[in-house]
Amino acid sequence: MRKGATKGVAIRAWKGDMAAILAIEDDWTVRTVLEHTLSSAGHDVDVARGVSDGRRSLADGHYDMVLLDLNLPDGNGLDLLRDIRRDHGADLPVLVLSGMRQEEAVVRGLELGADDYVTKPFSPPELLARVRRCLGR
Amino acid sequence: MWRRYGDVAFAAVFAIAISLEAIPLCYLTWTLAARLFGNAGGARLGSVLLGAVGSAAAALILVTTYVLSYQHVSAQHERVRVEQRKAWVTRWLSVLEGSQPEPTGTLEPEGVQALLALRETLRGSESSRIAEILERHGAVRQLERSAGHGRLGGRLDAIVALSNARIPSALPTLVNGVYDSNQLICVASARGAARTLARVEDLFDRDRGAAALARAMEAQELPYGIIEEVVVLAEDAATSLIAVLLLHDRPRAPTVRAAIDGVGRLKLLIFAEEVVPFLSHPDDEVRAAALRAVSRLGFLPESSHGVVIAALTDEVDFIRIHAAAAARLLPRPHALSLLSDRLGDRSWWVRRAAADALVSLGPAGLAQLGRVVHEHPDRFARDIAEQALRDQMPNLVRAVVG
Repeated sequence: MRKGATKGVAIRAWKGDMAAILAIEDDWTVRTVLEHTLSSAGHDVDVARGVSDGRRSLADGHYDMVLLDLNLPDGNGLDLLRDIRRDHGADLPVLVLSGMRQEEAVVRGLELGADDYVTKPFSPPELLARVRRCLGR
Repeated sequence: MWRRYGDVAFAAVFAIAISLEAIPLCYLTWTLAARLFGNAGGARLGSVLLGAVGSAAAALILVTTYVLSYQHVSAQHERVRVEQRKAWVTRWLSVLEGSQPEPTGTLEPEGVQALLALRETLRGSESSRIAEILERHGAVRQLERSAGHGRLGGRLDAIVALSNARIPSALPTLVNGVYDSNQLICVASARGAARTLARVEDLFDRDRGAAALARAMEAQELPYGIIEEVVVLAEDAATSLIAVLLLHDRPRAPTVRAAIDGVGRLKLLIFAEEVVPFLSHPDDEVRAAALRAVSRLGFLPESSHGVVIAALTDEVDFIRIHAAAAARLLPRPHALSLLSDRLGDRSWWVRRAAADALVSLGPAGLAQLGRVVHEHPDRFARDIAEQALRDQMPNLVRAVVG
């Protein structure tokens, strides 16, 4: 468990190569792309389809990083981000996935403690670079 | 009932069901009439009545069975389609990263749909390669053909697919669709053309495409809401589109209004000077749009101060609302004094807009609201100032306490 984590179950030390990543995203195409891109890079990927699904996965699993969509069918990604920061402190990196015209939501996400953001549509190499940067911070 | 498949089966089942209801009812009516005039016996009437009830029951059973079966079959069909599409998405991703060869020959529909979904999700070189694959396999040509002919549903599906694909070579087809006499095709084509225009990289082609789309929208006299949506959907190409719409010889008021709103929404400072003359436009809606745009852009040249000051006392409520928002761009002492006056406006919306504008002026505006609470002769002005300050309390507390 990383130093400073307030709730250790969902966080584990990232060893520098393969990471356990939770992708919370409702669109199945984006989910499939995330799963494929991150798995191809050697990461272990779990997917969740909404806020409640994501909360359940975070409570049950051990993750090095979370990819979080802001527009989810059963709630706002920002609320989940707030909960992640409350429960896990700053130790669990969160990469926000946002739409083209969501500048305000992205700014709010960064204020709430997101480590970085990727705008949809995205390029897989850019996504991987940002994931690596978040994991290596 | 919502249907995606089986138009013929639906029509046949309901034709049979209605026949099963209508024919026996006609015969029953005939028999009842005959009985009334003494030409039919009670026993015959009873059997006709029984037959009519039985036939109606059969119709109901037929319709119910059809609806339930349809739900079952279409749900299964949809599940299979989603699974196929997911498999295709994974396959295309492997093709894009070079770990699988590209399929040859004509693509099956789910393969095309998966490519279209990926084109929406990815950008950069992967997205360009998807466009190439779509063109190479003839999928774009096929969609262009379907967009122009056939039944309405099929045409709309093809236009939406082209709109998702955003292939620049399909732009002329989509612009032609704007001229269609069917409103649904016309609007869907305009949206698709705007989205496609956003992906045209060559500036000359982009300007030419924007001009063609603007001409088509003007010819069809599309309403304000659609033109505004088209401008926003054009993303980076909105500049070309707005330039054509604003510099048109005699643009219609809804077109000008949509273009000016696009300038404000997309914060296109390049058009700030072009918007200013519309602050004195005779059409109230256009004037309001110009006030909204200067307010959003934060640009108000000194020569236009008088127009905004005059708009603060305009007869039309919504002009005063937008003028109040734009008045924050006036020199500070003027803005504070004029907005304080508007806090006593007869319309609540203007009072609220003036209070919000004062809040946006920062400490000076908040101090002015504080003075209004104690000194303004109008009770409504004092109330709205107090309300605006109360609304700001959480922010003020956060600013002080941290």
